[in-house]
Amino acid sequence: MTVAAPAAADAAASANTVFEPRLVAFVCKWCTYAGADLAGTSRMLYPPNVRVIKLPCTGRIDIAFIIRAFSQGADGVIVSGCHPGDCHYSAGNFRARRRWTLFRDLLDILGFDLRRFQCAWISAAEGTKWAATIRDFTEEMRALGPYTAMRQLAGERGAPVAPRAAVWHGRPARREPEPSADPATRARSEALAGAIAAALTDKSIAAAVGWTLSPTLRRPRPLWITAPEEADRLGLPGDSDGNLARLLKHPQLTVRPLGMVVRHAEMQALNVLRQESQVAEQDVVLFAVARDGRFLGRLDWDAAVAALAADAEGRVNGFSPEVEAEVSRVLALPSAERWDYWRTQFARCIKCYACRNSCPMCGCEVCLADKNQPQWFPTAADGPGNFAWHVIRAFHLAGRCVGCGACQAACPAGVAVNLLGAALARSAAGHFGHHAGASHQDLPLQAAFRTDDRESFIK
Amino acid sequence: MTATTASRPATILSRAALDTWCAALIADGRRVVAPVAGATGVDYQELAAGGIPSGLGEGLPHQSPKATWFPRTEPILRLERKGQEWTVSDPDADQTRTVLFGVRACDALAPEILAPLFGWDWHDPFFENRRARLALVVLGCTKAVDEACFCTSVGTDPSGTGIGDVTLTPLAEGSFAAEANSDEGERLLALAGAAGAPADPAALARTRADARAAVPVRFDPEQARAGLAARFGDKLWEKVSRSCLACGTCAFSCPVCHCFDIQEEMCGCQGVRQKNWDACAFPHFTLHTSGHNPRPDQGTRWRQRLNHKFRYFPEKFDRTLCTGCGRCLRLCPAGMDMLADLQVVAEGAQAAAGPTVPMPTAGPAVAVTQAQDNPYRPYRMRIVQVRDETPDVRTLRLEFADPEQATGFSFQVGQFGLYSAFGEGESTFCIASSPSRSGYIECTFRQAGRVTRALRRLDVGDLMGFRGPYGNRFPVERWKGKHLLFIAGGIALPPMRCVIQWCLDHRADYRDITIVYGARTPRDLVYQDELAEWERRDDVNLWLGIDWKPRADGKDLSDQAAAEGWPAINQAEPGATVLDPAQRRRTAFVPQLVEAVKPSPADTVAVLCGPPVMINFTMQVLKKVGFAPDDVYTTLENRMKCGIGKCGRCNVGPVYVCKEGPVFTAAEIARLPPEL
Ligand SMILES: Cc1cc2nc3c(=O)[nH]c(=O)nc-3n(C[C@H](O)[C@H](O)[C@H](O)COP(=O)(O)OP(=O)(O)OC[C@H]3O[C@@H](n4cnc5c(N)ncnc54)[C@H](O)[C@@H]3O)c2cc1C
Ligand code: SF4
Ligand code: SF4
Ligand code: SF4
Ligand code: SF4
Ligand code: FES
Repeated sequence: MTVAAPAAADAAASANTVFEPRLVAFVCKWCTYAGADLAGTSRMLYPPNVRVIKLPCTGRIDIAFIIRAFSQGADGVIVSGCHPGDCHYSAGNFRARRRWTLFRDLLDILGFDLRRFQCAWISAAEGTKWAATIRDFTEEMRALGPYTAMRQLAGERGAPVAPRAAVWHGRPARREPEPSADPATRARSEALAGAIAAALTDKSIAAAVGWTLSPTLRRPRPLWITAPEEADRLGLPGDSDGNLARLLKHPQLTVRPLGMVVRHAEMQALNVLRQESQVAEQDVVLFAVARDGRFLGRLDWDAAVAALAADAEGRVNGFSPEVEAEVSRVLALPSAERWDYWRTQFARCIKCYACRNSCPMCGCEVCLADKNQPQWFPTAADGPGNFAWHVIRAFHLAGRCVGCGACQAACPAGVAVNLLGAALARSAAGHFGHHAGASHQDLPLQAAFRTDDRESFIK
Repeated sequence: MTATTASRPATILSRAALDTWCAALIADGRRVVAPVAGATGVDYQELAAGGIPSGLGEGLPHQSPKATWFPRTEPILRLERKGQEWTVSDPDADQTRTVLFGVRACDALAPEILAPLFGWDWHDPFFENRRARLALVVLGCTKAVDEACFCTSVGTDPSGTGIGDVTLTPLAEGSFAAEANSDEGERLLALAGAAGAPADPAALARTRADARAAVPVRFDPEQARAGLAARFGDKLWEKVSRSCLACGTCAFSCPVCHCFDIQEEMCGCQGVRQKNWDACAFPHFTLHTSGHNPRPDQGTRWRQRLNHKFRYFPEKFDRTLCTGCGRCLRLCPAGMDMLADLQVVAEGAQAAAGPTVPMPTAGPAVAVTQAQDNPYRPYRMRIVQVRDETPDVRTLRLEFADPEQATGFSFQVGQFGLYSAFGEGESTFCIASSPSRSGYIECTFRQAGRVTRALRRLDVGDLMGFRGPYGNRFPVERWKGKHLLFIAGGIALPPMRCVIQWCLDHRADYRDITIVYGARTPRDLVYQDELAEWERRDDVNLWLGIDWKPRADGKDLSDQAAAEGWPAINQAEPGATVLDPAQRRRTAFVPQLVEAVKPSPADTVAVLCGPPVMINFTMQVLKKVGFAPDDVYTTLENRMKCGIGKCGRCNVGPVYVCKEGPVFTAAEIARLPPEL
């Protein structure tokens, strides 16, 4: 097997003045790796710049690998596997194709030069194609020069360098005391509390999650209760509070069925979780509250979705018009400015993980960021660590983020956390007609595929 | 910050003069960090040349300026690999002189509160260096920012009088009275340009008194301390923490939270080991590699936060670990309310309660000698011997790769160290060899996680890191003339082996030595050679136990174990078993085997190491046969990072296991909070 000898490339790099790019190829072992092998045994000539990493299937190429490769100094990354229809695990490459589409969009959103990330289908018989692809890729990267943007990140561990995004509003403002002095508001919150108390009494729910106010600052505070007499502590939710669906992941709150005060944001989140079989219809009992504070009653799933649909008005893919406007503004910037925008946004991040821990979708039992064998994320809150965190998080939420803004409201550092989500939601809608949380019957975006998904970008 | 020599009169500066002053400070080569107003509020920011502190007086910046003395990520070691060789070096010290300009009193006090911790025996040069180069120009408050401000409750003077190097007091007419509190303050003020008119001292005092009065006292910290102790086991903690999302916002935003993690990151052949902020709210914070977690839920973690700040830290360092800035209330995404919880526990509590957890004393402290500036820099050790004890337990014998470092090195029985697999991280193991066998150290470890896996990949001749020795020791001289009973389970023999070797090397000092050691299966017994040697010695009374004896196919075979040399004891009534000295290998759990051995408590010291369950049951047995808790010793194995009392990870109540442990008596452990 004549996979590039990296040492040879390095030696060539130091001997010549001509720049020798360092390239990484993530390939599936059945097709492309065999194709590369064929190129080797047939003594086809191609530059030794590429380090080949063999995986069982393109479906196994985690985007964390690609980010890691770039942050460890790669000038270009190529991913390749069996042609559509030829996957040895039947559909791994169809799923990979969707992911590459989304990942390329994500890179583009970030202002990353897409030429440095290439995708190809190369079969075991296509040794010639492998040699030609690598030759072309190497030539192109040689001409482009070293990839420095990520290396510059490596030096960054300082103070924020740009103002906070204007869409960040921090924590919700102080509320009126509860019970409210306004009789109409009081009647609504009493109706809500009464319905929950009744459900706890007749044991149709084992616990209920809702909202109360923190004593000192009277700010919204999620609360779960198990006894009917606690229900009068529950008040009405505000518009920009967090997302209660998060509490489905609370390690101590394992009882079901769970009563939940739901707004449009929770309903969308529940739809996604149900698509993913993370929650079943009978696990939750819904107490719907409209954006204007009306208690709509204890409703079944479809009725709650329908009753709250009006609250989506003015929102795009779940995101507020303000967030959408900012995304449009940023996406219209030239790529170098986009890169700077995100770089300086990420630089604010202190890695407290409040964004993750407030997100109804970020519910992995052990987050990739907390795994250390292997350690995919640089752990520090510095340039590379923050970049990896935000990019991987955004990607894990592509097609899932419902735009509730819980992350953004939670962030103590003023990072506009959900802008990437909003930008990726456009890709999901544009390429796949997918709207996260629109219905519990949709298939999860990244788990599903169509045989005719777009692939014009794949060589 | 140097102390002031004489009080100098305050001078009056206009708002515009403050901008000019900042420019002069920058021109003087200092980094100026000051409140800057933006569209979404005020932040502490480094001023670029020409920048002005536009957020002065606009409430409290969102985030604390903690990063100026304790960056969120900070290199503490540089690593370089050449082939199989590694070099380690210290990162360049940050030489920047920083002025925190217009900092509020509640932020300005933080470095001073933290100084005792970072200089406690071991000095942390990173913190101390930054603090030495940090000057504080404090802007007094005139009123509370909002209901979350409670500085006056924890002894912070909101007017900033005497805090930092210079105090700025806002005056009614929009100008500021500037008063130097130190020589450095004088130097800073000299850069402010032409001296302004002197401020009227009486008026200034009045303004400051008004500021103090404007922030209501919301609770009494002494009462809170008593209340926290009294309600430690209360249901309250589970209830109030139900909202908590287990993020790190409260700790990361707090000017005085200082817990950190140590992680390393390689890029090619270069790497850094770095401190990263960490928080007791994270489930991982105390998680053992085994999966055991001393603080298993958010209730215990929230309780730790409040106890650490208002009870443990004050008991240890005589300062409340909170300046009352209120950020943890303001920024918590879940509306958690520390202030309200403190008010609840403080209410009606008897403020007179003294320290509830006295410091341990039984394991003598070992005097600290900090051989190098950077206490986080490990010695490079060469592996000279590798022994596989069991399929997953390995012993490494190490010698100093830089022999001159060996000269000053010594350790005592029971101490531990942090061993690094370069490029992967550090792990805590005890020093398993005895100081009486010098020239090398040994560690024995079970493959558990990332570091231990990497250590297993190393071989004779390879380099690894070691720093230590750390912690207290066994009081072996106090045991002279006594009978000794050593009880160990599983991988816990290594911590014990050091002390057993010591006692055997000083055999005449001690009377009977009994060792009870058990493991899951015969294959899991470590130090087989030494066990055989101890079994042969007639001055050692060794008993070995196994939980069960597996067949080749791994199935339980206890009933047949007898036939293979491990007869079971009377499980139902271990005490009724009559042990035959000729049959020292038995099928029995350690606590049962101890009961069967029927140790006499008279003139006997028991030393106990093992997993929590084993310790627990064996303690009960020892209690039953009459051992006094003061005569039972054990070691704790809490998660550790720094090993030198800085990172907060190993804490159990006010006790730093890494410094005041790992050796404790049962009596001391009984006084610790049940967070082991
Ligand atoms: C005083 C004392 C003495 C001890 N003596 C011995 C002994 O003699 N022999 C022995 O075998 N054991 C001993 N232990 C236990 C030993 O320290 C642990 O078993 C060992 O450190 C765990 O192995 P690891 O580092 O490979 O595990 P890991 O859990 O992989 O830890 C590797 C590093 O990564 C960090 N980490 C872990 N999980 C995560 C995550 N999810 N995300 C990010 N980072 C993470 C850890 O904090 C650690 O620094 C002792 C412990 C103490 C406190
Ligand atoms: S909440 Fe903000 S500071 Fe915290 S990890 Fe997320 S983006 Fe970073
Ligand atoms: S108290 Fe608030 S800020 Fe602290 S960990 Fe819990 S949710 Fe996060
Ligand atoms: S504990 Fe809260 S109020 Fe006290 S100093 Fe820290 S952030 Fe401020
Ligand atoms: S242990 Fe104390 S210092 Fe550390 S994060 Fe918790 S409250 Fe802060
Ligand atoms: S304080 Fe860091 S290990 Fe003890």
